[in-house]
Amino acid sequence: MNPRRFSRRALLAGLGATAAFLPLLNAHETRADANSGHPKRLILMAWPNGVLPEHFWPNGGNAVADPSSFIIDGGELSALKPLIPHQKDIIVVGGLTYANQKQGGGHASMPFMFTGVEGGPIDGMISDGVPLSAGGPSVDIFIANQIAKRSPLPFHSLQLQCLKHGGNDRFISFKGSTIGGQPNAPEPEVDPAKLFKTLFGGASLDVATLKRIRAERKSVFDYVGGNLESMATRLGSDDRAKVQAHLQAVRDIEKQLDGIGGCTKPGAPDPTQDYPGAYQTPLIPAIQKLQMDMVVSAMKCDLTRVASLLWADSSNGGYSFHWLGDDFVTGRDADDAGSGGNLRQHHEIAHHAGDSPEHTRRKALVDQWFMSQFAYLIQKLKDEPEGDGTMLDNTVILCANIFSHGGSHSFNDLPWVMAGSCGGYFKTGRYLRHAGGIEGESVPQNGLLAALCNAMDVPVTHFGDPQYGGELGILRG
Amino acid sequence: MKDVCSARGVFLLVACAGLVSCTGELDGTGDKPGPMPLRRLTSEEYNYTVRDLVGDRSNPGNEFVGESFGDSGFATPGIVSTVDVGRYMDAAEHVAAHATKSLETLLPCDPSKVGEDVCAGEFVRSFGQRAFRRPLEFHEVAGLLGLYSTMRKDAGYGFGDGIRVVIQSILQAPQFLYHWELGAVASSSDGTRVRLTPYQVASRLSYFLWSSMPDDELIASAASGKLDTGEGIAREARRLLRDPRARDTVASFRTQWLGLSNLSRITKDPVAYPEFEGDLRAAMGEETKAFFDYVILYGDGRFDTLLTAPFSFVNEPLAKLYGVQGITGQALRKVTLDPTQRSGILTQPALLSVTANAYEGSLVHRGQLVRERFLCQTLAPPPANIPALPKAVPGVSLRQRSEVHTMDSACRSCHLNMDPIGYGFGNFDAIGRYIAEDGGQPVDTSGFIKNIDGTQKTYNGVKELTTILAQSPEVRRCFEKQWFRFAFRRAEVPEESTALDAVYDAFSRSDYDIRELLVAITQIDSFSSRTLAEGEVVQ
Repeated sequence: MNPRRFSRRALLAGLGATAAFLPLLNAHETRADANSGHPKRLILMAWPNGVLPEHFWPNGGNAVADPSSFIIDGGELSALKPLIPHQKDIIVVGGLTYANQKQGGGHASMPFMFTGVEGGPIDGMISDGVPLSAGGPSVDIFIANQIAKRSPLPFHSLQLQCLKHGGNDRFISFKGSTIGGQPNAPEPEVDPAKLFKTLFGGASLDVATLKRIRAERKSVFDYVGGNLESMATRLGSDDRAKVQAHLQAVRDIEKQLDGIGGCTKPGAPDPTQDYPGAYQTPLIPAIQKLQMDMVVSAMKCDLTRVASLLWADSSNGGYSFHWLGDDFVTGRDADDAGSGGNLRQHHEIAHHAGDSPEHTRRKALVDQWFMSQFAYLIQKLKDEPEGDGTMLDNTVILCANIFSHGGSHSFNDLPWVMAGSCGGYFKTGRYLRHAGGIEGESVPQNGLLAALCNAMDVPVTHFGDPQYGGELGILRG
Repeated sequence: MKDVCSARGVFLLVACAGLVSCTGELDGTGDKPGPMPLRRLTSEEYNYTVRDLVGDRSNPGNEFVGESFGDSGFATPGIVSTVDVGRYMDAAEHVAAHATKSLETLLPCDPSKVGEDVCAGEFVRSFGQRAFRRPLEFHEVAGLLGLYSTMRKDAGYGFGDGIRVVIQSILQAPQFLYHWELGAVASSSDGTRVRLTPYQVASRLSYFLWSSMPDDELIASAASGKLDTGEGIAREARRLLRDPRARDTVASFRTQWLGLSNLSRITKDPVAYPEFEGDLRAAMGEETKAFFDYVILYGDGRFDTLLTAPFSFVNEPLAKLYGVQGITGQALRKVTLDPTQRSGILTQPALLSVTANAYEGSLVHRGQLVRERFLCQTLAPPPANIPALPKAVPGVSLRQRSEVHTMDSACRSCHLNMDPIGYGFGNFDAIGRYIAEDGGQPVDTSGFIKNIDGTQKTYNGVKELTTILAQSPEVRRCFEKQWFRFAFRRAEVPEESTALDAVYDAFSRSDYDIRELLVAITQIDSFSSRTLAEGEVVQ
């Protein structure tokens, strides 16, 4: 056990623990030993609108006898091209599907992809006309809640999105099933400047000022919490659940007040930019980079160990890829007539891929750009030494498209890629064409979600809907 | 009534006296009130409320995140998480710091005369009543004063900072953030029916008709029992509608009903429509705002006018688009337009632009808007993998290219509900400019509306189309429903059908005066009562 990592926190946790919790603390130490004393981390990334399968999968989409020797086509249109330098650190997982989603196409998949369970009805609907939300917690929140029981971190988990978006299809992380007709999901942070302030804002203030602000906020939150508590007693069950969620959020933010400061902070976002204000903003790449930088910094400081990043929303009519060149900004094709009206926006690019070589090229370059963002995060973690290796060695990233095929919006054979071994749990450097082992058949994503829990030392027998099986063992090798 | 009067607090005697007359009379229609799910102020409501509470016009609610459109179709804040709490904290700190810069205008007393702590007490009661939109309970006053003295004694704060923290706390309290307004005055419950308190009715009125907090007069009416009768509520509703703040509600309704918030987001082909970016886009929004304000609040108020008026409000950039001569400058002026070309809201550039694509008008989106927002009919989502429309070729119009929708059997069943309505808008391009020809031929604007008032109606040209819509009972009923959903932020429930009929009767008796429609909504059971929520015990 590394005394540097566990002295103070372990002591505090131990002091507060009753006999019943002692085995947990022991287990904690065991796990820490197995992992050289460094915390394990999970990062989920979701991006929309499917891929062009013919330019996505390694080996032209054909299974190979030895999954460790696969070839990423390095051609101009290759989606995974940016991952070539990281080939030894990734698992390309073919053959997954959302067995738990019974209605709608891929735009409706967001509540199901990381929860693995179809849930309660909601007022209004998510995309594709499906009035259902998640039926349980998503894997990131589930794991974060378990970690919080043994390690009181300032932030259980972070949820980030790079595009300000109303509507019910802005969530990939869920605390649980629907409350009073509304998705029970933490609001994703969009603004990098706000995120910076939340995570590292304290570090720029002098100690006395910081102390004063914390004390003042604590008093206010105590007052607010007390009022929420007494309000809850006068309400019906649905409304009480809403107020209790509010109360929980107040209690969580109180803990965050202790966390700010005392940590090496990354560079602050440009204060003159109105990050989330602009629609069709050319700032999207900057926002994504800042969010990834801050997630890595927060994890390095052990402010949190779990994060989810959503790059747009379920259909992403919200941005065009200005930064990929003029061809992505303007240019009139008759084919675009009758589309949503945004020039060359992501969703239309996905639908029209295949219409002509130009359309196909556009979609392939968009897929490649998203993978370059994934590659950036991998590199960022590799750049941070930790123990004998790097932060990536103690991390697992799941980079998941919300559905499979850009044109049809189906969700069979999800184009999901993992990176990092999570402390040696996963055997990386492989292309698993059929994760279920059967040619052409998709298996539920639940098995991968269960594997994430076990990798993060949160033992489970299954995740989400139990009928969809336990851990997908093939990921361990 | 025993339940009511057994609750604690000094306000009860007054309140009970006012409530006695109500409980026995509620069942006049045999109808039941709908539910009243707890909801937070929307970001718009937050902005307007802090404006009216402390004069803060910085719109701090614009920093809030992600409102959903629930079953009402109008903005409904979701479940609170830490990001929301953080935003509330930032906003409260900003508003409180700003407000206490001019402390003397906030205070109801002079601390140098009555003493700082006494003055703090007076402030908590008066400011608290405005912020919570009802008198404070005894323990609420004590809680806020406790916080004040903690800051003074433990943190060593001066008087001004103590007041600042009180404001900061009030603005983050659930009593401020939620539409709840339940204080010591208890609700009276008769089985599953709960009568709202007069203060709850006051807030219902002000948030419905102003999108903001009640003013002092409305709170005084609540306190004196003037809101205990339908006539009293109607009198206040009419007063609120005459106030400039009613424009905020008209704007909020208009923007959400017609999806006009997209106006600031859409892109148009810069080659074909270079004028769109800049003054014109902004002017389109201003025009529609001015038109709605005029028709609903200052003009004849008639639904028919909204849909068929030959006039609008135009400045120089818009005049160029309309082809109107002699208008210069940015100020809007009321002008009469060519009645064969323009007819009410559906022919205004703002709406025509948001229902078009980047290069040309869209028959589908314009037809869809009418079907969903004016007829309140839902359409099935489009299937996956739709092929694109055939490419534009010279001599072929958009209508001709779109006919694949209504010929192809896979598309036909849905598109017959949209495209033949969209034909009527064939004279308008992507930014709502009138075009006489498309594909080198005169535009054919004849079409039909399937499934309206239980039948199919044919029309020739946009004037006939909008006239059919304006006179359709189904469209008027839909407009009524939209306002109902806006007011209650939920869909109507079956138990409210009699109430909706009653509102429609009032609307029709007034010859479809929108102001009377709004007043009629305040008269139904669901406005001043609600059903008991599941698991709720009325205390």
